[in-house]
Amino acid sequence: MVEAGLVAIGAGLAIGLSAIAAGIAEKDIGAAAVGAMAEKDEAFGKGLILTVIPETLVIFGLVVAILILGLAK
Amino acid sequence: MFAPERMKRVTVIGPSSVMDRAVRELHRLKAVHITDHSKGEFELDIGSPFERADRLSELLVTVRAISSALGVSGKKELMNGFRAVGMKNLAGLNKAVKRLNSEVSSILADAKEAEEKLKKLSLKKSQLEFVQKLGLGLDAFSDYKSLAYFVGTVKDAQKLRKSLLIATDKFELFSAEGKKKLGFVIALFIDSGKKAEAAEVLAASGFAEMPLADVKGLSGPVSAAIEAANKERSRLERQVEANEKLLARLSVKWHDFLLLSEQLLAAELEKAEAPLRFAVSKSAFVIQGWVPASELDTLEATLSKATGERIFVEAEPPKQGDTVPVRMSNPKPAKPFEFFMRLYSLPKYDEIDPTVFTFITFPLFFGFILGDVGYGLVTFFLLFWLKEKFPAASGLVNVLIPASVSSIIFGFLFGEVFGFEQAFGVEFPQLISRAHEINAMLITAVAIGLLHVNLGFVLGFVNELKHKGLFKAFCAKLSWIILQLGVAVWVFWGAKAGIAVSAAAVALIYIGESMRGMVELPGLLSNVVSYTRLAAVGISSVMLANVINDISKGIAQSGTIGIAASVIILFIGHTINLALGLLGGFLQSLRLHYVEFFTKFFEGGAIPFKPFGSAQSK
Repeated sequence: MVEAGLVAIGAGLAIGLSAIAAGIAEKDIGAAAVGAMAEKDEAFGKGLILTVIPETLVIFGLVVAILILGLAK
Repeated sequence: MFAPERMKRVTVIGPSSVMDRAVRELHRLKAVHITDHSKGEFELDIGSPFERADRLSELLVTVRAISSALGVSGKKELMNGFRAVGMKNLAGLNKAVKRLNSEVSSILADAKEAEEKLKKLSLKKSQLEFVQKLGLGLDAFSDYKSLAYFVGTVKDAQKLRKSLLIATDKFELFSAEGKKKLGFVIALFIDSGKKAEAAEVLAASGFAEMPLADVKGLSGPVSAAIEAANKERSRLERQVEANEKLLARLSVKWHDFLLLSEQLLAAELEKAEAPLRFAVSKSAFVIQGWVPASELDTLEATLSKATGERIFVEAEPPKQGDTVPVRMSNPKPAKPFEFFMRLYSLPKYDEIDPTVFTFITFPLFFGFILGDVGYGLVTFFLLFWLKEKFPAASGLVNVLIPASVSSIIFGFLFGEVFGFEQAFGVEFPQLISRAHEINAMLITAVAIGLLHVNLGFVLGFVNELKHKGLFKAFCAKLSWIILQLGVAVWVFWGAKAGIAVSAAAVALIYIGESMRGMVELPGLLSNVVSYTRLAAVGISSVMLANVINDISKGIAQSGTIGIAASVIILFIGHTINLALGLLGGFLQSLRLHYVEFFTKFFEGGAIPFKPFGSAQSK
């Protein structure tokens, strides 16, 4: 039996760190995408997609967090 | 339905004498996407615009200038050509516009003059007030022979007097306290022999000169002059106001005329400049372009009738490698979802148009994420209100309306109303509880992901089949499905068989997509897992709703004020949560289509079909 508190910390780290990672990645992409859009309006669709690609990191973090929480039971 | 509208490459050839006629008919039909002729092709030059183009463009510029001066903007449907603006022809319109222009510019010139006068007057007034403060007459500031004077401000008049006394006593200093920061206003009259020294002393005491150019030469009492200036100012202000009223009246009176003329002239100019896009010889012209196959017959009939059968229209199907302009063609309910294609990239002519698939899956995904009867209903009515209020946003709204309906349906499946799963002790019937069966939700989401991604591979197979043949297409796309089956066999059956199937699939992928396929191998897993967002984003929205509900429930137990506060918390909390849910539901669903689904089959990058004469062709 793993300590419930440690499990909670682990789950929190899983999602928090992955969210920070996604944020760092999206910051640069977003800035570049806005720059591209200023030059060319049609770039909006592509810019949106490129910007949300790192979002998957958080989703992975969330899935891992849920799996970790399962350990507490 | 699954492909863009069929096009025909069309070539229109005729003698120069019927070119004008042909251009008018093409502009009216709005059926031909003209491809610009480039010099040198079949050794023909590009045409030159019709003579009237110069006059038209000049007139168009004038109309636009008047519109901007009068602040006229907006849209109005243009019909009936020149009759729409009450004119018989271009000459009539020209006369009317010129008359209006001279009227407007004379008012504008008048207004400008009045404003300049006002500016000068306010300068003069401040100088007069300066003199008034010193208590001097206006005639004190005339030109003297032996006397020099300085007028302006200093920090400290007493100090100045003392330092002047050191140099000479032949001076007179008038001073008065000025506004807070300015210190003192002064007028110093001094023997002209001592002028240079006085200037030095003044400079040392922080003197700032007040120019009296507009007051010099005036005589009489200052107060009378100020009064006169005030009178003049109110007269000028009345004039400015009257001008503004005149312009406003003109702007109302000519509003429709200007809008319609602008459009009319722009359309006429487009026609007049059209030959720049044609190939011409001395006595003939060639127009090349694309026409929807369904409109070809009308085009031929109209052109030959209008020109007395002196025109030749040839049509042929597009060849491989042609850049065919694309107009999407989808059943009416799916039409709004072409919005997503325009946002991303138009499908190529020989490619599957995924609009119909998006029409089915986007609302499903959106509903799965925002599955709540309460939120769905609010969104539904909000969207209809938005559609009424902001017709410009209707592209987005029309996409979201089916999505909100799906939200309501999923709300019933999940048994949720504003996050509540029960009310007054009655549990809502539900198929699955999002808040409590998280694992089941995640598995469902992954299953949806598998279906969606594999649909993408199948569509990719169909696309590739046209260019690369059965084997290559199979290797490039369907082998990905075999790979997934291999993994499944590995997990549920046994390692040996599973590894064998997977390895074979990887080899096929290498044949189909070479190194690129190898790089994308791990991507398959992340693509499928990415669909867990369908569950995850939804669950986080449910959790947030629960938190809001719990807080307000807690507060509501503490008396009347508590109930009022809890209602406010409910309202604000659910508004924020709905906004987040809408944004999340929209972006995440869209992303799953663009990133996970489209990358399996979609290339895009086609140019849109812009028929000559339509609003988009400008």
